[in-house]
Amino acid sequence: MEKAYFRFRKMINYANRSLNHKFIQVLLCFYLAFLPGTILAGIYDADSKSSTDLTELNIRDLMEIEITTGSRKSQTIANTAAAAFVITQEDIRRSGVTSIAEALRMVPGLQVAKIDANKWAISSRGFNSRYSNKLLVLMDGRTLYSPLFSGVFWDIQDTLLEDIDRIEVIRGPGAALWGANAVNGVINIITKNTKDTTGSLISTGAGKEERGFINFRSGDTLGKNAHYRIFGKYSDRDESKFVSGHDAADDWDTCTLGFRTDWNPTAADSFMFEGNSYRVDAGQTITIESLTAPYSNTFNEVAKSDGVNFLSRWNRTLSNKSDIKLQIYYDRTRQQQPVLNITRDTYDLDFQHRFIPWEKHEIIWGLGYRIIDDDIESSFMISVDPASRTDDLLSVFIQDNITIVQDYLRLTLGTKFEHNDYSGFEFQPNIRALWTPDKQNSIWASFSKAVRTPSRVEHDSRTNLNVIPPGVFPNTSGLPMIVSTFSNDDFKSETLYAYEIGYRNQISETLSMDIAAFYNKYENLRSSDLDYTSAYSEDSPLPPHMVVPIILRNETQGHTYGIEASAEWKPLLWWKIKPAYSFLHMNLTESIGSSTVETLETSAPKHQFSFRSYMNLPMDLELDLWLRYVDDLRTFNIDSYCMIDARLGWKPTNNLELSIAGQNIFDSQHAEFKEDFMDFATTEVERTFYLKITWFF
Amino acid sequence: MAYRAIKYIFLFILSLMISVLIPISGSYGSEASTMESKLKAAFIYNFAKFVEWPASTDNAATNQLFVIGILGYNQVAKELMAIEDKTVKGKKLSVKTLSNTKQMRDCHVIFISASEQNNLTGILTTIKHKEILTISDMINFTEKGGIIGLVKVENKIRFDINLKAAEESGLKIRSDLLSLAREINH
Repeated sequence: MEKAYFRFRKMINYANRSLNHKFIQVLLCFYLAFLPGTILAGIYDADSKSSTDLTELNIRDLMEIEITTGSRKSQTIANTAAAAFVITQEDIRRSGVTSIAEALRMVPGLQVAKIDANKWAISSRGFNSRYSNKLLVLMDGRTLYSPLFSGVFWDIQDTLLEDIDRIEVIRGPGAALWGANAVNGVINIITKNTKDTTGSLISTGAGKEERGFINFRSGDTLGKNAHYRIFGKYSDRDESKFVSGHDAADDWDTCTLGFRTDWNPTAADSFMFEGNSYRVDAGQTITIESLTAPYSNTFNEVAKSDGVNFLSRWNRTLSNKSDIKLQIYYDRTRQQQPVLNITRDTYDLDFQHRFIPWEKHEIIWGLGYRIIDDDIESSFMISVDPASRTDDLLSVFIQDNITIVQDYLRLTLGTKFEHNDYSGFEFQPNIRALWTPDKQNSIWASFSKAVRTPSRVEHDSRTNLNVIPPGVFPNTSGLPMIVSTFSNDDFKSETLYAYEIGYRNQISETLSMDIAAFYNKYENLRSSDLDYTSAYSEDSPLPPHMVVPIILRNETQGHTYGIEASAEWKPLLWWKIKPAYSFLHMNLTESIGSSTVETLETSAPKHQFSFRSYMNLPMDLELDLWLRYVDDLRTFNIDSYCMIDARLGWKPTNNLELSIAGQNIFDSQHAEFKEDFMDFATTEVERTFYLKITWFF
Repeated sequence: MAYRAIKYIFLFILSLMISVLIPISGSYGSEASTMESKLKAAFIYNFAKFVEWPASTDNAATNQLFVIGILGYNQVAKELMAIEDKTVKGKKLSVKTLSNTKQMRDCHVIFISASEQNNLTGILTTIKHKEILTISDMINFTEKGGIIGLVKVENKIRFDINLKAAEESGLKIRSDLLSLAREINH
C-alpha cells in the first residue's frame, strides 16, 4: 500500500517536472506569439471548384460511383510489392500481449527474443541483438531508432495498446521510401485516429509478472470537425528468474502520458497533433569492470529513462491527382545508467508530394531534414568523444509507380539519396514489380540496395569490454589487461543487395495465404577482430595497464536466404486460425588479413513457427490460443523452445470486458537470448498469468 | 552550422502547425469528402422521384415548391443548396436550413445531419404522421425510426429503408426504389 502511494507521488512529481521542461516554455511562447496562425483557420473556407453534376444520373448509376480521396489510393496488403504483414487491433487484444514488442512475435520473418524482463532483441531476417541495427521502427511516422548504438530500446516504446490501430511490418529493405537503416525491415506502429477513440476507457489488472497496471483514455469531439484524446498508463512488472531459479533484479515500471488531436477543417485538409511523455525505471544486473581488484563488480542497478515528444502532420489534397504531406516532430530522450548517460534531441521535418503527371504514372517524391543533438556522459566502460555532437541528415527520395497494364502489371522504380555526417552520401535504389493475374492472386518481385549507416558508437567511442587481471590467461603481463573496442573514423556503411519474391492468394472468402522468399547479399558488415599479440601499454587512467584493441572494421560479408509464410483461415463462422512459419539460413565470413574465417551466425533461429487460434464461444466468451516454436541459438547455448499462451475473454455487457491470460503455460521458465555487448545478466522468461478488466464509458 | 537557429525554426514551424489546429472562426467543414457529399445530395434529389406524397392542401407554400429542410449544418446541405434551381415533381426545389419545429412541418423532405443524433427521438416525434420523408447519413438511422438512411459501404453509397416509418408518415415508396435498397425494415 505504502509502495503504491509512493509510486503515485512519483508519477505526479514526474508530471510536474515535465511541465517545467524548458522546451514546453519555449513552445508556449511561440504558440502565443503566433495566434495569427489560427487566422489561417478562417481562410479554410475553400471549396473544390469541380463541376460534375451528379443529379443527371439515376440511382443505379449513382450506386456505382466509388469515392476515392484523390490519388491517395489505400493500398491493401494484396497490392503491396513487398513482404508485408499487418498486426491488427484484434490481434493485439486477443493475443494477450502487454507490450508492442511481445506483439511482434506473431510476424513471420521477425526474430523476437526477450533478454530479460525489460530488454528485447528484435530484428528482421537475422542479425538479432539488443542493438540490432538493420530494422527501422516508427510510431506514427516518428522514428524510434536510436542513432547512438543503433537499434531500438523497446522498454521505452509504449503507448496505449487499445489505441493502436495496426502495426505494419515490412520485411526487406524499405530504404527507397524510409531511408537508411531500414535495411532488413520497417515496423510502422499506427495509432487510431481520434475520431475512432471518442469515449473513455479504464483498464486495470494484475498478475504474477504483471504486478499491476492501469490504463485510461478519454476522447471526445472538439467543435465541428476535430477530435482529441488523452491517455495515461502505468505498469509495474516483476523481476524474472536466473537460470538457477533465483530471482533476478530486472523488475521495471513505466509511466506514460499522452494525447492526440485530429482536425479536418475541409474536405481537402487534415491535421494531426500528438504528444507523449514517459518515464521508465528498468532494473538490471550489470557487471562493471575496473583496473583494480576485484577487477569486475556485479551489482543490481536501475536504468532510468524519460522523454517527451511532439509530432504534427498536415495532409492536403491539392486535386484529384495530387496530394501533399508535411510532418514535423521533436523528440527528447534521456537515459541514465552507470555506464552511460545520454540526452538526445531530435528535430525532424518531412515533406512528401504524390501526384500523377501523366497517365499510368504515379510519382511520390519527398524531402526530409533531421537534426540530432546529443550529450553523452562517459564512464570507464564506454567513453565517447566528442561528448556532445550535433548531426544533420538530409534526404531526398523519388518513386514512380508505373501501370504497365491496367490492373494487371505494375512496376515501381524508386530511390533515396541521403547525406549524413558519418558516411556522407548514400544512394539506395530499388525496383519492384507486381503482377495481378486476377482478383485473387498476386505475385511480386523486387531488387533493392540498402545501407546501414554508422552509429555514433561505431564512429566515436571506446568500449572497455573486459578487464583480465594480471596473471590470468591469456594475460601474461604483470599488469591488468583491458580488452577494448575502438571505433573507427573510417567505419563504412554496411550494404545490402536484396532479391525478393512473393506470392499471395485469396483462395476463398475464408482462406488466404501469403509466402515470400528472399536472398540477401551483404557487404562491409561490421567485423571485430581480437588479437592479443597487438597489446600495448597505456597509462591513463591509472594504474598502468595493457590494452588489447579490437578495431571495428567492415570486413564481414556473406549472404542470407529464407522463406516466410503465413495464412488466415476461418474454418467456421466463429473460429479463426492464423499460422505462420519462417525459415532463415545465414552464411557469413570475415576477412582477416588475407584469409577468410567463417563467422558463427549466432543470432538467428533456423525455424520459427507460430499458430494462433481465435474462437468466439457462446455467452460472449472468447478463447484465444497461441503456440510458438523457436529454434535453438547454438552459439549462445540457448535451446529451442515451445511457448503456449492462452486467453479467455468475457464481455458480459457492451462496456465491460474481463480477461484472464496465461503466458508460457507449460514451461516454468526458458531462456530466449543472451546479449554479449555490455554484460547484462540474462534472465529467463517465466510462466505467468494476469487478470484484466476493461471498462468503457 | 547554425543549428541553433535551425532548431528554433523547427520549433516555430511545429508550433505554427499546432496553432492552426484551433478553429476559432468556426469555419464549417465536411464530415466526408466533397465528392461524398455531392453524391449524397444527388441521391436525396433522386429519392424524391420514387416517393409519393398524398395530395394535401394544408400548406399553400408546399403546393408551389418542393421543400427540403436541413437540420444541423453539414456539407450535404451545402451541395443541396447548389442544386436549388432544379425541379422535382413539377415543383421548383427549395432548400431551407431549419431552426424551429414550425418550419419542419412545411417540408416535403427533411435531411437530418449526424450532429443531431442526440435529439433524434424528439425530432421524429414532432414530425410523426406528417408527410415528411426523413433522410440522414447518421449511423443506424432507420433503426431509430428514420425513413431512409444513407450508408457508405466500401467507398460506395448505399441506402436502407424503414418501410414502417414511411407508412406511418403516410408516404408511399415505389417498389423500384425498394429493390435497390440494401436493407428494408418493416
